[in-house]
Amino acid sequence: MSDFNRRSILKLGSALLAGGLSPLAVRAENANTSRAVSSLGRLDYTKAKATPTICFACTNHCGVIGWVQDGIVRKLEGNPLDPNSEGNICSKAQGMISYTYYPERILYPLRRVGKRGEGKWKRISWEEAYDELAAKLKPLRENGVPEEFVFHYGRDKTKGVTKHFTNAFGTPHRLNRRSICSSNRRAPLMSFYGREFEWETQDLANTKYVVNFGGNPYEAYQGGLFMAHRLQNARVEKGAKLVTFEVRPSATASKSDEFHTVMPGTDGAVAGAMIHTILKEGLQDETFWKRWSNYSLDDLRKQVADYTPEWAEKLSGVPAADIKRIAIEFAQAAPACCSMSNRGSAKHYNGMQADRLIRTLDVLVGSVGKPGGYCLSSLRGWSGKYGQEGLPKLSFPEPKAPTPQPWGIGEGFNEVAFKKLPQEVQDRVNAFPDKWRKKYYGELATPSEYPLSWHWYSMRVGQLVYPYILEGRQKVSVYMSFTLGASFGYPEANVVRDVLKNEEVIPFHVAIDIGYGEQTALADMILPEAASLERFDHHSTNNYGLIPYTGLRQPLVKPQGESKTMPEMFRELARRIGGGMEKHFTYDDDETLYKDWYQNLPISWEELKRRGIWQDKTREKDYELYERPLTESELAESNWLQGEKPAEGGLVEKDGKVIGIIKDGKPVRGFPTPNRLINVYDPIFPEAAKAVGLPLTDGNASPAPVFHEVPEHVNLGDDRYIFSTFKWNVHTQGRSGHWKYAAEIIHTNPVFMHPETGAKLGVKEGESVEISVFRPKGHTYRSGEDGVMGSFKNHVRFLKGMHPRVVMCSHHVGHFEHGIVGESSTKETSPAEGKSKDLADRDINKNLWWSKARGGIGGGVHINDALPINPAPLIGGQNWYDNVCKVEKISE
Amino acid sequence: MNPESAVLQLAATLLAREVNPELLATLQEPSTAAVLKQLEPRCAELLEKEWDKSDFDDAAVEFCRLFILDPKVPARAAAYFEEKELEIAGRIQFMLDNGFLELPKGFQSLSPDHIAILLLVLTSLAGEDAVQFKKDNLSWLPEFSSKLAEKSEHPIYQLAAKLIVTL
Repeated sequence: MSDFNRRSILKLGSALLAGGLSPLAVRAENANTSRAVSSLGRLDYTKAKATPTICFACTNHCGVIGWVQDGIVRKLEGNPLDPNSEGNICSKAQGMISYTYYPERILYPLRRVGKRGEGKWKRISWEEAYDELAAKLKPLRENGVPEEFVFHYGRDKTKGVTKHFTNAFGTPHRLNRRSICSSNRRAPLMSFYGREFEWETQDLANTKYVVNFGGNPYEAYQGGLFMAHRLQNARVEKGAKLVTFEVRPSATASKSDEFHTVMPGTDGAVAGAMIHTILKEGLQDETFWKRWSNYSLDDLRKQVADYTPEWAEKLSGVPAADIKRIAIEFAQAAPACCSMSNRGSAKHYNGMQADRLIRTLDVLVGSVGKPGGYCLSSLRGWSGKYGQEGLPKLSFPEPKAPTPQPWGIGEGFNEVAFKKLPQEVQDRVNAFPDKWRKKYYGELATPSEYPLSWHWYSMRVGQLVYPYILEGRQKVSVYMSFTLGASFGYPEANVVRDVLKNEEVIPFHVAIDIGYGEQTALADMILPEAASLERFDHHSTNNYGLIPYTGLRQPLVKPQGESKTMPEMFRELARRIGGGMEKHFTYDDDETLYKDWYQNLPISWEELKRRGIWQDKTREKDYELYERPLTESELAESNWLQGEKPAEGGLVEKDGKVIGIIKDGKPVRGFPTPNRLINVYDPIFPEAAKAVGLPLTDGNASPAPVFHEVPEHVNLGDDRYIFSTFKWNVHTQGRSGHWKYAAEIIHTNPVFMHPETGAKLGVKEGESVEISVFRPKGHTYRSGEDGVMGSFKNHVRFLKGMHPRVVMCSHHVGHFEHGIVGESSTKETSPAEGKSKDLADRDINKNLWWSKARGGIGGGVHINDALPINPAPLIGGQNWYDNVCKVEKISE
Repeated sequence: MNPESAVLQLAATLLAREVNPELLATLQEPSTAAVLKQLEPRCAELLEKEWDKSDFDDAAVEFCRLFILDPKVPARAAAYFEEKELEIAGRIQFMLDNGFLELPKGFQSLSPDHIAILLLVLTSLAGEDAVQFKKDNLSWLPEFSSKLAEKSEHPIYQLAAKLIVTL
């Protein structure tokens, strides 16, 4: 500097000008007077603009109103027009602002420069990104191997855009994470009630009694916010009772009228004993059962004959007298009573059957579809499906792309792809009945060992995708991950990382995401997606108010940096790939696309944008949909009007499809199952078992709901415990570890255990233990392998109310590639002395008080490498809560 | 454009985007390169040689490391203030929203409080206006340049650090 003075500046400037420097076209006026005009940061309601949109923080998707000032979102409030949330929001919603202005957010397309995973990146233009990606994708399509393009999402709320792209491309590989989340609990619902009802909608506002098996709507549950306030109002204002069976004092358990600690994996035994009691006491609704169930009460009696409350007490630890009393109270409250269950009951080897037993309770007392009962309401899509009669049709407005051909042998099948599969797989699929052969699309999309993961719809078995790729079950040329955190959050996440690092099995990995994380770190190219407050999405879900509604996610601000929306990215890619793909992506911009999407609504696009929500409030609530008569237009050209009329209980058919059933001599809708009844008994389970060689003695193969023990829990040694996980109310899986306010509240994941458990282990609160997990023993992946499969160390926190055989951590935190907040556990990334000490967010720099470098507790421990891949037989849902482990105190 | 504005524009461009052939040609123009080598001798070789792909990649990786992904030297005003982190961004956004500021291609996707935008605005101001603008919006420039000097491992950005000190 000392040698470089004003003369040198002038010399340099003159040289630049003499060298032909072209002046950039910048025009600035009022540069100084503007400082007085601007509101300078603080939210001023007289200047800020309010716009409704839909929250994206969790799976609830609540209507919110965003306040924008100076181009920045300052505040989110609940939208009172949202009939589901009724204007409520939770702390996670405020995380959307952190999420949008995350200082390490990816704002430009990036291309790997060094080795994969090395962390060397360079910014590239969108043109370069599109051209390179299209150059890799185009030959796959042209050479007849579109299936070598694998699209894998973690959170896709584009409602059709991505599927439109994969269909137009011709690949069946639009993989998801359903098995990680909820397939064990969705399958029983679809078996009972049909494909349209993979999720229930209890009428909690009017209920008198709820029996909850491990559901946690007060904290973390799909629909939890919609449920919690209704349930709480019903309890406070109408005296409704909430009984919870849980392994720990969750927020819901703690707030329940009764909370009973259960041994993991025994919810089905409690439900079975309740059925036994209700039948013994004669409290069943015999009329409803006989009218709508496909199973006789006599057979049910035989099925649960041994499920006495005393038997259930031995398994679950819940006193027999309580089980009996609760069963009677539940039945006496009918029909204004309902069951509730989620991961707590379902994420076990026996979870699917446990949920079938739980679902049977509502059928037995006749609360299905009744006010205050276990209701079923339209879920999503608005395409005229069951329960959506009379709603305006809302669908992706572009020319529909054909679905890929199923794999198999014969006309109409993709024989080329099929014949590349291992012979064992081909033989298994060839032996499948036609209904499955016609739905089979290879081992990643439709794993043949888990036919019920795709029997009703494509739930997939996401945790097996990476081992299967490694085994060579599917050649992958381009792997595209979209808002996916598999390399952090999947079981045996280390296997995911190993596969993603392996350039032989994944030659090219493009990751689409908002921020840098464990998944994007292992990509070759990263494409930055616009955040949820910057884009449009279509929204529809089940309404706990029981009248369907739709909402519009709309941009509050422009996408930051050069981030782009999925519709724009896929439109540009489709146009570059060509070959007809471009014909399916004709829209000029996102707003045009979404405007067309909602064209059938009876309000204008501008009015929808102004309100954010549309609902026909005059529509009848979704009570007893099954009793509704078929309309004249529905019956036109059906067998009811043409030919011989079906007899009582017979099926009404039209165009080869079953549309209803005859009850009391009249055609009504029934349930959207093949026989229009509730399938308490379902032969699909033994059929699937036979097809994959699962012994029929395994409980999963039972056509009737049955309790069977988790194999590795039988005769559990005194020195063995069950390791389980849970979700906090301020976090959303591993996605929220970098939201600064959420992380400030919860940033660590101690091992919770009962004080008596601690005493037995000789551990005091705050001391550390090593938890070593063993592989499962049932019919599942790498079952029965000896030895510890994974372990981790963490500190202990005591919690009364925990089951004494359970130790438990949350799984949200312990990130190692997720920005400075997410990684706050390690010294090298702590703000006080680390590599990232200066961010464009001084609040983080100043206030990350929990980092280890500042003497804090750190950012938690990553546990998912130590949890085994453990898909439930037939369905493939991950049995997250079965892990047998040993716990050892770590000597200081 | 006067010589001072030309230097501001060069600095803004260096901090807004990676070195591309066009920018390299500007830097390697002999009379310009001579002054720049005097300013930062470590960049002499790069200002004389013909760059191949790996040279461009090296500079791009460093640009990404410094300014883009988990930035070691955040180029936004918000990173340098304890309390009023939104003020400068709000001020520039106000100008953009009200048509008082139009930015050239390559600058439009930057955060409103990005140093490159602020330097570019400065190129269009003179006299007291420039002094006031610097006072209001660029008081963090010395801290930024010293951080850049400390963190940069590539001669081009070491040069950028020294160039900014002179502004």
